[in-house]
Amino acid sequence: MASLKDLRDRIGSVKNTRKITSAMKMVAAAKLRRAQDQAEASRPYAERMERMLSDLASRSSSDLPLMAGTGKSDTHLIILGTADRGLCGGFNANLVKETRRMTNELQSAGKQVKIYCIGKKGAQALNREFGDLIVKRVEDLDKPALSYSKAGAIADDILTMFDDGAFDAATLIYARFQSAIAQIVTRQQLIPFAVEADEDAANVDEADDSAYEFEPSEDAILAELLPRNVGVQVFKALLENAASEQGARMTAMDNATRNAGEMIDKLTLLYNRSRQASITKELIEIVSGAEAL
Amino acid sequence: MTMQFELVTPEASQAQIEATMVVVPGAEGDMGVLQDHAPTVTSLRPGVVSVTGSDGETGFFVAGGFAEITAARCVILAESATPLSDLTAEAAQAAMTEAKAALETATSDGEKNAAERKVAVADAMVDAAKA
Repeated sequence: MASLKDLRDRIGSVKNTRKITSAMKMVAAAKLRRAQDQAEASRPYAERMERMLSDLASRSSSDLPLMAGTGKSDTHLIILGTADRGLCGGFNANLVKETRRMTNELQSAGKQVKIYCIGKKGAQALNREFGDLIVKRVEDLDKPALSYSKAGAIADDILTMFDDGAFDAATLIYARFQSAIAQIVTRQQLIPFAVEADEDAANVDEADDSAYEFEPSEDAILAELLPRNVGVQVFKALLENAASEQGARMTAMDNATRNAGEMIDKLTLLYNRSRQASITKELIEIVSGAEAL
Repeated sequence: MTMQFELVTPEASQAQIEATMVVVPGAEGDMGVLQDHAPTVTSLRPGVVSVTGSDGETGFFVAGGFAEITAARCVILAESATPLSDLTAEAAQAAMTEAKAALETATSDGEKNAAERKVAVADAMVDAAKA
């Protein structure tokens, strides 16, 4: 059995762990709030963009590659967004699992797959299995802060690859933030652009937009809008991911803190019992020693 | 006789002004917008959006984007916008140098196109900073 000193040290170390995890939880909560604010601020732009785009897309019969595809679907690009750091529960693992599943699906359908990794953890996890499929790794996007220009640079990179014919279709994999407990791993088709059916037509105040004039022309605007939309979607996904990561970390650290607390209670009980046992033992020794005299 | 002017970037809504007139750098030429304008959507070239409101004229440099104009409002969607007062000639020149370097090192067609766009933006930025 462990000695009293061992137990005491053990309790001390678990207490330290609890301090660390509870600090991490609080940091994650603060970061989560910031990430949510950022997501909130980016919403008006994305909404307007989406409305304009779906309006244009529904009335245009354009055959732009970004809209209609390249006419084949041999090579797929999977853009995986993960965190740079761990200790956030199953957040990274779930995203990687979904990527692995999708890669296997595509490969068994005889397609070529390329993977674009945003975030350190995804690249690390996929390195052994699909290392030769990873075309690009991007890291440390949130240092010092996630900004649109960084998302835009990724989008430009992806579009450049698309223009050079490196792939035919692109899918984003990220975790949609629902709450601090639930993050939903989502696949989103990025290229070619999918006209969304579930348009939330809540913007009734501008229902007259069928009367818009377009300058220079509908197709010209669409041709400009589509590449920008890629940037917006990537940015949106990264913001959702950032919020999800912090949410997942908060929950994981909350659990860890609670587990540490339970462990301390158990160890303290054990410590007190062993202390009591040793006192009792000493007493018996003294009493039986006195009787023997 | 005012309308609602709004400048939205992906990161935040940058400005909301009650404006009497807005001049936007449309793809086919500058366009003055007053109240009761016909509903129009236009793409923008890199340039200066200038807004006349109750407290005088305010200018923003936008690196391209879109304007959505209705009778009562004028909404600019821009990827990035800088108030003219924050734009310095040095920053514009630095952007220009960077863009030109990117153009020189570009190898594939896609990279070249991207770099050419950057040069055009930087060019407009230099002009805006001078004015």
